[in-house]
Amino acid sequence: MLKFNTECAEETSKIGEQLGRLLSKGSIVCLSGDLGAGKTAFTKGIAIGLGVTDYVTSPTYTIINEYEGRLPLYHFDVYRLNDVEEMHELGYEEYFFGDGVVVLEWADIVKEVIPGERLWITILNTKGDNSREIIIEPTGEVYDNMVKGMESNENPGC
Amino acid sequence: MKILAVDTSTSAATASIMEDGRLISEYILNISRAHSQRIMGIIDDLFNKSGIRPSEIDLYACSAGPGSFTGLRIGASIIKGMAQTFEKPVAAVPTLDALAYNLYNCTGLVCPILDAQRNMVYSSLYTWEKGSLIKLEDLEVIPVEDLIKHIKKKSVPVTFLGDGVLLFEEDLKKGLEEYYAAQADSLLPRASSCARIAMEMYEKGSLDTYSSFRLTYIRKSQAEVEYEKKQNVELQNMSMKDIEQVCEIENLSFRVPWSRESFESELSQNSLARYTVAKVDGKVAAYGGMWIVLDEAHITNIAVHPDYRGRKLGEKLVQALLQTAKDSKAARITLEVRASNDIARKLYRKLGFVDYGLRKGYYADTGEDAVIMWKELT
Repeated sequence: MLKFNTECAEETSKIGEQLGRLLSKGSIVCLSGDLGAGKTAFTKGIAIGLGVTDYVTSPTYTIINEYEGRLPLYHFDVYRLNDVEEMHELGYEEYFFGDGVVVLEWADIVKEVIPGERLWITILNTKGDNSREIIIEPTGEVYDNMVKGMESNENPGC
Repeated sequence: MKILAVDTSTSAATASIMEDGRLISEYILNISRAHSQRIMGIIDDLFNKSGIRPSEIDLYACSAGPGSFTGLRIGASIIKGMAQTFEKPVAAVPTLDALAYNLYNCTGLVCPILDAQRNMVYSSLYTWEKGSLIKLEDLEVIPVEDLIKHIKKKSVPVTFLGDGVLLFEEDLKKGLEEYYAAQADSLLPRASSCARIAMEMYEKGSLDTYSSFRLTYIRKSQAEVEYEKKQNVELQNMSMKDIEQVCEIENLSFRVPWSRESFESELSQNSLARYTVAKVDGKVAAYGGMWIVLDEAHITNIAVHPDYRGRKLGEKLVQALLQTAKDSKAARITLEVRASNDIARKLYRKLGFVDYGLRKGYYADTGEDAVIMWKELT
């Protein structure tokens, strides 16, 4: 497990960017945190790290957005799903077991279908200001190595 | 008769215009799955280059699955949009049939395989007989290993095609003594094959409108599969010793329940009646029955014990009744349902029943209307 404390949205995004550089084909990044915690800001960072040049917006209404980068980025926001069954109706497997990277906002809602090996990231707004606590928990060797790759990183600053 | 056909079920996006069996134009683009950005451009190109206007198209054909969910939806939304705009019919062409059409009159068996993720494929087995395609087996979603074991038992050569070949060629080669695959020109879906089947569907009159057109995803969701594993459901013919539990459910479910004697006489004296029970861990959880009169099946009653509702038992039961009706050579099946019973009506619609009419005030207890629903079984 790895923890970062960031002081502003830009810094949160930069942690995402560091992670984005390390992701590989089939990577699954689950994001958990309240409304406004910074999941989309973090995802924007991941997109930059993956070399995506498009402007990343929250797919709350489209549920999945797809971006072209070093690898395809499949950005899910499952906030509007009522039931894990809807993930099957979406055909999520094409993305989870596909050629790109999956970033999943509100991952808790569909926990049942998330593969055992993944990166689980919780973003907490503990102080009620712009600072955030980012907890990164890897499961599986690939993700352990990813987290090791981030351990020596210094906080990017605001 | 001009047909525009689209197939976006795999990594290849393909569209074609055919006129009276003559291929006017075809486009295949196999570069990535970003079909949504490209397919409209492809169709536009087909029209421009061939000098045909969209309004001249008489029939729209769409590869209707199985295949990539996202891919299928892209094709379907375009075809439905155009068919609605120009008020023309739609042919829902089974993707695997269309693939088999790539190998006209091929000897031996034809086995299209499409990637269904997690080492599984969508597949069916076909054979060509004097120029007609015959589907021998519907394999639905099958792990590649199981498919190989299954094919091994066949005594005739099998030719594979579809995007599954690209993924599993090594496994197929290793697992099978004789291995043949379609070559690059016929390996992936071609919209012209889709158009040829659409023409036949037109001749048979089996077309849809933009609103009745449905995709076939086939795959049972993982959640459903896991749920089914968890509960031990058995479907059996109803026997006399089930009647006590059946009556209990009947009394809990209906305001005017059938008597024990009614069930007894149905089972012992009515040769037209077929009754099925669904047992969970040995206990009757649901039951249903019908009368098969000549080639028509009439569902008489269906009920699920309140403790077991919401577990898809009703659906399983109706599916079992449909199968029994088919096995008894019924050509169509009907039922009546309370107009207010939304859950049941939704289930019947899902299983292919269509509203056919109303019987006003059919239910004596409340004076409520009954909706009559029918489904064709052939």
